[in-house]
Amino acid sequence: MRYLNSKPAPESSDPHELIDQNITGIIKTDQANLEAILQNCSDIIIKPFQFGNPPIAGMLLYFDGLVDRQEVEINLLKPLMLEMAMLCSQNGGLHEDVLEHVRYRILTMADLKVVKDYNSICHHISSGDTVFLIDGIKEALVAGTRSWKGRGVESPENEVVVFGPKEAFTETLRFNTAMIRRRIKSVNLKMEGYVIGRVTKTDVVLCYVSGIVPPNLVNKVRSRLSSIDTDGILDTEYLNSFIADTKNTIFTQVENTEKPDRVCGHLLEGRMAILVDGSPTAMILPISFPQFWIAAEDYYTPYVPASLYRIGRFIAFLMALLAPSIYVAVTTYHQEMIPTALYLTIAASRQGVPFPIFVEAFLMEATFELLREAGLRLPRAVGPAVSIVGALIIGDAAVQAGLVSTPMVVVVAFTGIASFVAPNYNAALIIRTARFAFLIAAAALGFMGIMIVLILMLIRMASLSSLGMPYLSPLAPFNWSQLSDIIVRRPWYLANQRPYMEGMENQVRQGAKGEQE
Amino acid sequence: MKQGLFIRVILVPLILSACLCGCQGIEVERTAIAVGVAADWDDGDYIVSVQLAKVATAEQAASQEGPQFIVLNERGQTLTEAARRMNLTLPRLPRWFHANTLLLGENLAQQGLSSVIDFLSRNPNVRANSLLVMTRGATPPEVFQIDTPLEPFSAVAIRYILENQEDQVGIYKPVTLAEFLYNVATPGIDPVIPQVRIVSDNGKKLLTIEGTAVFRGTEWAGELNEAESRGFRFLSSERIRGGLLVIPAPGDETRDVTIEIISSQATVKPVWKEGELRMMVQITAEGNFYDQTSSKPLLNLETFRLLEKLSAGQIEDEMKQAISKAQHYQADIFGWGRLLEREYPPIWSQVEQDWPQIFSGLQADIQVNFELRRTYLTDESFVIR
Repeated sequence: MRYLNSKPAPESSDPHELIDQNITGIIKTDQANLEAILQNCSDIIIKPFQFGNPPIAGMLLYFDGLVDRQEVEINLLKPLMLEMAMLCSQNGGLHEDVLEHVRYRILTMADLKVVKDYNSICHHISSGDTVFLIDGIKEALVAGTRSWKGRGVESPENEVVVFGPKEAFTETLRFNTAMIRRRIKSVNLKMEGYVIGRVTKTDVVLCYVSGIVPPNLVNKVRSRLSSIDTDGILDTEYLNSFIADTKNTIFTQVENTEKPDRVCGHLLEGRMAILVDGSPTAMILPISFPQFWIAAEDYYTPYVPASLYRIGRFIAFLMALLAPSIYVAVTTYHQEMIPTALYLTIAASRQGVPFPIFVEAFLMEATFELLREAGLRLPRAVGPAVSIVGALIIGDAAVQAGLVSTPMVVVVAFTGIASFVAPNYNAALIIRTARFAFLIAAAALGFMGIMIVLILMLIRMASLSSLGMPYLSPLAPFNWSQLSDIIVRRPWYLANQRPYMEGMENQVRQGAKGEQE
Repeated sequence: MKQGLFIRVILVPLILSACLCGCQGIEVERTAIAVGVAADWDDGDYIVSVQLAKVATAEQAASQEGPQFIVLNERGQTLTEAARRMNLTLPRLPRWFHANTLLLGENLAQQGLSSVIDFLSRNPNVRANSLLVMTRGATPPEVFQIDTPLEPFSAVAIRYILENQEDQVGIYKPVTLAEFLYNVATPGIDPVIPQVRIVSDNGKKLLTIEGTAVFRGTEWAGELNEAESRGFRFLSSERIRGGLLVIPAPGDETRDVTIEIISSQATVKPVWKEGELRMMVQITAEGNFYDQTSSKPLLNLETFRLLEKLSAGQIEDEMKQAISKAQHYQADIFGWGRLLEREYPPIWSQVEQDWPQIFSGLQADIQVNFELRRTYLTDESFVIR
């Protein structure tokens, strides 16, 4: 093993110009050029060797840590050095077309490609492939030897389920695509590959089931993906802002999930998924807002409890959005709405609290968000300590000291719990952001303020679209038959049709005709 | 451009309106909660009394000594002035929207209610669904000061008593402010208000509902006693539920039977025949046999019919008492004038001017259909051997 990082660059050649050149075919020059291109890369391994009889000079390149070393040795070097000698001696001389021989007769590897320029060589070795150059040939052989230590498949951390599959995506793209492919064993499951990022050259895969997905949507995503011109893509969220119809909004128009079963469910309903190498989340699109309160688990539990939980989740969603602002509005403007006994209790607990209710609510909400954020970032060992200090000590001490009133703590705690009911992290983020707008409006104008913000929010949401699909569908534009899978969860025997999408060719999910339910 | 429009049209008014809201919003702890509001009249001044709840959590209230309320009175030339002058002594803003009971003093009633009707109907702080009660033999502050059993606020207690007694004994009909105002404003019907009195029980003062005050328009006319109030309740146009009838036991005049009224519906129809106006009153009532103090078997076919007849007679008697008392006061508390207007508009326009006199001479034909339905746990009288 040789590390070439200390070698000075060849005199006149600039690596940035060199990289666009083709392979010269002269192994010494190629080696010098590649070393120049790869200078200061301590993890590159360049191994010149000789094989055949008479001996031909060859060269192997790969990045250490990205390849399966054993495979390189057994399936590449060993056949070359041993079998080539055998082959050549039969003919009594060196074969005309060395590369063809090596590729089709000698190497026992399946994944072999031929490239012609340094640029491709560099891309392939960065991706974990091994490149093999032969003296006198202006082409290089690329062997797929990608193998690196990745995180194994674990259970999802954010989308925890009681029933149903407990697999989650990992950071390795191939594992992720395999997890999807294993669930949908059809050649109609397409996985289009893209390389995005000027520097990172990240592999991005667009998944869809052809025959179900509306073709115009695929074209739209294709063109948006190919038009991305940026330095790097490190997570699916990077792509979101390039793909979304409307960029300037808090309402995400995609859904992020770490569960392959959820992705498959969406694929079967004619949506698309985008996977990014290095990111354990898949991005689903197009998505409509009501889908944010659908949990994957709904489909793994009997439909009656699932429907009840879904309705409950919707109420919790509204509460998480509105509870603090309703409390502020009612206690500052609409005191006649509170039952007398509750009014007395609130007034009693507000005795001596130095802040107006709005300030109190705002501080408490901000504190809660802070605690939540701290709980997320802290090392696991310290996490429980923070929640104890935060929830118990700060909460209790603040009430004891008369800084906040008890009903406020109850409201904030209730809101916090309700906001965790949202099955989707994107939805929870929307709620948390919008909640503060409602709080301010409630402090300014009471219920009228809440209504104004609510109407503004609905107007904004109604004007959004995800890949041209209305963001509030099927609520607006209203579609009665689809509500059976939004407000409640219909039993599977009634779900003969897929959710409608503009341009969908095949809406029948099951049954001969998919008659209207 | 679009963004600018959004800011100008929506955001700027929203932010500016936040500065205007000072007079509207007030923090909870700067308010005082009135659980009862009262109006009275004394010597040319109007008096407003409020029963204010002391602010306390349930825990604090349980450990607190003494009453959980304070009663404030203030005089003024109008009710509004009196109510507002309270802020000269009280550091908190009294809020009236939790006051479900509205007391009217006896003095004010004798003075006539015409001077406070406008206040009651116009003031947004007075709840239209609060119950109206007239104090009798006491001033409203005295009533507010009474320590009612089990309920910390007498104003709340009066409301609960009125609501429960209607179900359990069925004597008085609670009257809300909205109903009262409607009756005052409608020709052909006069308002009533139940009365509250202070009674003494072994030296401890208690509140009780006793009698119904009758008004002729806004002028105080007199009161109905218990039996008349019951008769008045039977004559009301709504279906009534709950209440008791105590009738003599058949075959044993010294013992009694209690009948519980399940429902009762009165239909009153004016009939104009040969120049004479009569009121046709028809009552359909149902009741259950609740108890008997006689030891005779009463629940057989003969006495069963007799019980029904006796009950019907009792109802008819009470209604007749109520009618004759109302006619004596010339106050059409049953709304018969309004029924006449609906049935015979031309006749009503002729008699409207002297309707009180005509009302006092009206003949009512009463017909009561009473049906006994159930007998609860046993269908026989208890046999003592």
